[in-house]
Amino acid sequence: MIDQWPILRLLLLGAGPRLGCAALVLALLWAGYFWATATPGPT
Amino acid sequence: MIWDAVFQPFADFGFMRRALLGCIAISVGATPVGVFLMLRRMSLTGDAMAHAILPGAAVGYLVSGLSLGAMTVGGLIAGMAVALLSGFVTRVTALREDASLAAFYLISLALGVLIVSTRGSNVDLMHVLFGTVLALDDAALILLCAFASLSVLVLALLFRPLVLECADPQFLRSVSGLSAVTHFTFLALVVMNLVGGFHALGTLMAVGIMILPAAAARFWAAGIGGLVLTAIIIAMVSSLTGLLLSYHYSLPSGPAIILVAGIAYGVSLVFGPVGGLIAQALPRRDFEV
Repeated sequence: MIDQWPILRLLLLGAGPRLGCAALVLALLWAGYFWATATPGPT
Repeated sequence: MIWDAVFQPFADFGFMRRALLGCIAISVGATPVGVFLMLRRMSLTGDAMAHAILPGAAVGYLVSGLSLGAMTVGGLIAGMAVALLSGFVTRVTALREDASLAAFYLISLALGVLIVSTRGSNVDLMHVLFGTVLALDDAALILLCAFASLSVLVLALLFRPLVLECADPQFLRSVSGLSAVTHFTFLALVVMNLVGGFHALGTLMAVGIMILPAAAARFWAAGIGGLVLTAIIIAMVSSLTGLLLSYHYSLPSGPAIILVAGIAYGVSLVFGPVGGLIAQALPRRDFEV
């Protein structure tokens, strides 16, 4: 039986930096939401 | 001149800003999923799933009218049901997955159109089939941004298992129990992004912004990171250009966006340096001293 822990660690390698980049992209996206909804309703 | 053509519509009109943000959210969330669909040779599965969400959205419409929440929940349930049912039929019968998926999506499409057209008007049917990207309200934008956020975070977390699933699914299955989790999470991401895209671009067009930029990016980048980034940029530029064409020439927005993505695909097919037609026709320099 293959020990799952080293495999899991290998599969999740680099997840931290990728999540950091993802968080940056999402911060920009939500900033865009506030820019787009500055005027009320679909006018 | 450039200000009037490109920036003025977004500076002047709230609906254009909302449409642009909705398309950017779909580009950020759905297009990377499209890249993985393409790499796993599941592009047509995405198309089938896009049709499969229709009856759920139609039932939501039947219960609550053009309600964002009801149609979203209905679409999610229908999409997941079709994905799981086709997988189940493939496992217990001799039918291959593509055939069972095709059967289920055709049934779903017929059922969805039947439900909407018997209880609603042609306008409602057009809304469901082709979306209303120029009429996105706050709730729809929050939904699109939330789906994009969830999609990006899950993809960042499961990036390596997903890449391994694309390259060698048997290996991942043999060394880790993450294979099934990755597969079903990926299917859930496909359904979720299609349901999100359906609010803006409709069930028939939602898959376009997923697959066309991914297919175009294939001719510009070889690595998966580059593919994802290029596909997102192509999707965003297509959205912006499509919206502007729609604004200046009174074209329907959804088809305009998808057609621009289609043109990007055509240009990439010819000029792309990674396996494009011209690159293949030119003599290769790999073995020159």
